[in-house]
Amino acid sequence: MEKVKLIINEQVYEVEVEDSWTLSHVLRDVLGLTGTKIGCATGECGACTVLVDGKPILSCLTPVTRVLDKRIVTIEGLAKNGELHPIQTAFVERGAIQCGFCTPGLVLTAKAFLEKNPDPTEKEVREAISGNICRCTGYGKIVKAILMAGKEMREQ
Amino acid sequence: MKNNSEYGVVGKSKCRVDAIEKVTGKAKYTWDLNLPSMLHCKILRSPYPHAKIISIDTSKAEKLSGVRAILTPADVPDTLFNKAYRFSFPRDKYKFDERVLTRKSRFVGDRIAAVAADTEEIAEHAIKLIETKFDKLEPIMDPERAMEENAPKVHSESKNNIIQQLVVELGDVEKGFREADFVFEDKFKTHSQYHCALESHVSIADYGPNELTIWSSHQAPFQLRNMVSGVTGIPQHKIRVMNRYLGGGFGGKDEAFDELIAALLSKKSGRPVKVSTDRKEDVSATNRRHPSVITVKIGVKKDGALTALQIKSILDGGAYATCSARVLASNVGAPPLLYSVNNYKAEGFVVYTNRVPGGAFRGYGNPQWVFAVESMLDIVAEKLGIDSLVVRLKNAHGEGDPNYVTGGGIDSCGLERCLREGAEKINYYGRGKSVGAGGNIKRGIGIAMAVHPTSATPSGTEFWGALIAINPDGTVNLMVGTNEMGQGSNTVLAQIASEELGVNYDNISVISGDTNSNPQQVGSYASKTTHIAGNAVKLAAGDAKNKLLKEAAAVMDVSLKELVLSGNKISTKDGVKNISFSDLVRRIKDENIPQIIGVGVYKSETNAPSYAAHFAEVAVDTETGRVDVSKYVSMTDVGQAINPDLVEGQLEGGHHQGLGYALSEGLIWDEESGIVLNSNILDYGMIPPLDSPVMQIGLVTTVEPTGPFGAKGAGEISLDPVAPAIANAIYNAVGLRIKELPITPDKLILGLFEKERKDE
Repeated sequence: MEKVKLIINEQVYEVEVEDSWTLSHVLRDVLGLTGTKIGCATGECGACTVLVDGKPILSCLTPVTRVLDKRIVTIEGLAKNGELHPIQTAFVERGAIQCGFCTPGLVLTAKAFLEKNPDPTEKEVREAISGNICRCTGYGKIVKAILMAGKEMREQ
Repeated sequence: MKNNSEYGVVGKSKCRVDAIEKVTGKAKYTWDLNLPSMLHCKILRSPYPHAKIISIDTSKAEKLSGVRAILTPADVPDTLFNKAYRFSFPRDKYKFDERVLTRKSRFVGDRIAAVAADTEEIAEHAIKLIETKFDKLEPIMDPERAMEENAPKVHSESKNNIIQQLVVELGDVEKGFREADFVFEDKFKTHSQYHCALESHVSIADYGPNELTIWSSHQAPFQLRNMVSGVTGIPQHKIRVMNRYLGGGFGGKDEAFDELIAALLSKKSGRPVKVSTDRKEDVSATNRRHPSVITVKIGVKKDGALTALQIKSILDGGAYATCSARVLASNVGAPPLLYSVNNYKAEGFVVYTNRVPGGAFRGYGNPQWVFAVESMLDIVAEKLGIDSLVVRLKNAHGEGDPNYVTGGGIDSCGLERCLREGAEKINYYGRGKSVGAGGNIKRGIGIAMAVHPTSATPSGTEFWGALIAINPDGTVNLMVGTNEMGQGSNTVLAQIASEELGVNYDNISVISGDTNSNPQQVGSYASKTTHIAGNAVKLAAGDAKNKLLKEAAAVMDVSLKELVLSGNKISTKDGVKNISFSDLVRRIKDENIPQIIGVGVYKSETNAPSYAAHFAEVAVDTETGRVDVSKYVSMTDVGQAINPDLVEGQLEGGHHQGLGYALSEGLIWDEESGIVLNSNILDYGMIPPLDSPVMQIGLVTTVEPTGPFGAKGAGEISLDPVAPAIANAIYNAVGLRIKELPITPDKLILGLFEKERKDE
């Protein structure tokens, strides 16, 4: 075990970790940040997506030692003072949520994507979320929500 | 009954009550729960499809540091059970053929032993240290062959491999064939689909002196409690089952899995135990959709009117009986609820094989026959030279037609409108052969229709209980077990309570997911929560309302029949006197009774079928065999939708799951070793976002008199007609009839090649 510093949602955490531990294990089982979901633990479903220095990564495959001193954002860090991020608002308003298990990963994937490509086409949105499996919605409402959030973020 | 537009909250697309929790990561799923001192369990699963277990040696595993308890077949009750058995159904409809751990492997993945350890890694390691000796037996993988006299028996105590045989007969099918101008017959095959709920199966058990507490990602907690009680002998009041939000269900969590193992390991170790199925286990060793072989024989008049319909179904039930007999009943029983045919006969078999067991899956036996019969109807239409839509309009069931299942009539049916309105939307009348043919991309439009009953009435008793407690500040707690797995039942039930009680929607909290604080309910399966739980909630709200109005009459000093309760206030009909809901509650509390509780128990008397017509436009690449679904239009009759946006979302998801069933999904076995070869998400092959069509989803409103505010089921009808709509569109595009699902590029290319050779 070694003691490391992690910067998660703009807060610093000092945690004892083992080299073999994944980021998702530390987030969920050590820090109790269970908003990050595990759907496969093999990097196929995207439910565990978090942002590291603004880029979406699969936290179930990422050793925690790779993300020391980097800015980690999880779903818990998106709303500020109880106010939802525009992507979260769009997901709620567009009915893009059913069981909700894929939602955190999709919202974070969408955030990284819209920050890079603020005015995407529908096809680009579909490409961007290709690594995030949703079994409930058929993706239609998720795509609409991301397009709507993009518009909202451009206007802000 | 009023029209939807005349209600306050019902018929409005209110935001989901759980949306904010889910979008902020606050929502808790069973997968997220960890208890102090909790152990983790891993299960030793059989590597062979059919084998006797000669010996199990756990001595090495026991010595591993961190291992706290091990279970082998010798450590578990010898009680036979059926993990799909429902206490609300006749017991003789189920075979009890499974034990917590088995002494004989009946499929690759069958449970042999289980370990609870301090960490998952230790448990995993310990599993590998258990030494098991097997005596391999010949496996039986093919359901048709399994029916033969000399086939190896999956359960040696059974007479043969037939789990259930059923015959359904209406009228005289032979007479119907004699009256026909033409008789056609063909055979269809469907495959095995996996639910792939994003949260795989997971449960935690904590065994204590006063109570066995179980948390499980489960669709029917009272059924689970009943089963655990039956096997362990613990009375039901000492077992508490709770579910959190379910990360998807689709029927896959309708049956119990590892809860008994968790409970027995917890008893043995004295600590809470969590069993979480990894994705590979979830794909290859949890129940899935029954594959089928279905022969359809149709008698028709020259004008396309059906004179007789006969089907013979063989379903692959896999290693254990589970709910297979019920799925078969649904499979052979539903066609006469879709077609107006006087002469019908179905013979069905569901048989044991050495594959992973079949179980409940959205559609429950219907997607199989709908694929077969709706494909067949297209074949018939072409042979007769009649348009596919015309043939369907001619034979579609309508309002007032007999509902032979309940013995009554069909009270609401929008099928004809579904067909006509969908056809308009996709410009069906403009379709030709190989629409817009050009180069190697051929376009076609296909159509299919379906029926799906709301609830399993009258096969079993379908009921639900609900309680409404009025809080001192005038807000409302609604206690109703809803098993929220994404379908939005908490939201819809709050809407129903709000409408009936006249209290603001935002002032209602739904308390669900706990057998200790919810009245009994049968579980969220068979497309019925809105209908049956909704009726129970409406009764409870009505009861509370009557009690409140009685008190209000005294408090306001007016006659009871002068009062109305709506918009969060109680007023006299002339509007002269009124009192806010919260003021009334306060005054009743001070002056009369401290708490008002409304009680509702509803038992279903009908199966209120929902109807749908689907239209698919496909572009088939004749060089690669790739099928692009370029347009998808669906029209569905779910009665009056309580929350149209939620219904539309659920339908869209069901269509998408149906597209996967039609085109790309399916478990693939190595037939010799019995191993599932694609037991991971990527190889399993769900349709990705880029290939998912933009869908036009429409609702045809009817008013179901038995439904709460006219509502019927929506969950399963969403999937039933998708595969034949796609198959029929492909035929329309390239003139090739694929009779076996899934319609993968290799089947298309091979089929086109053979067709070309024949045409020459």
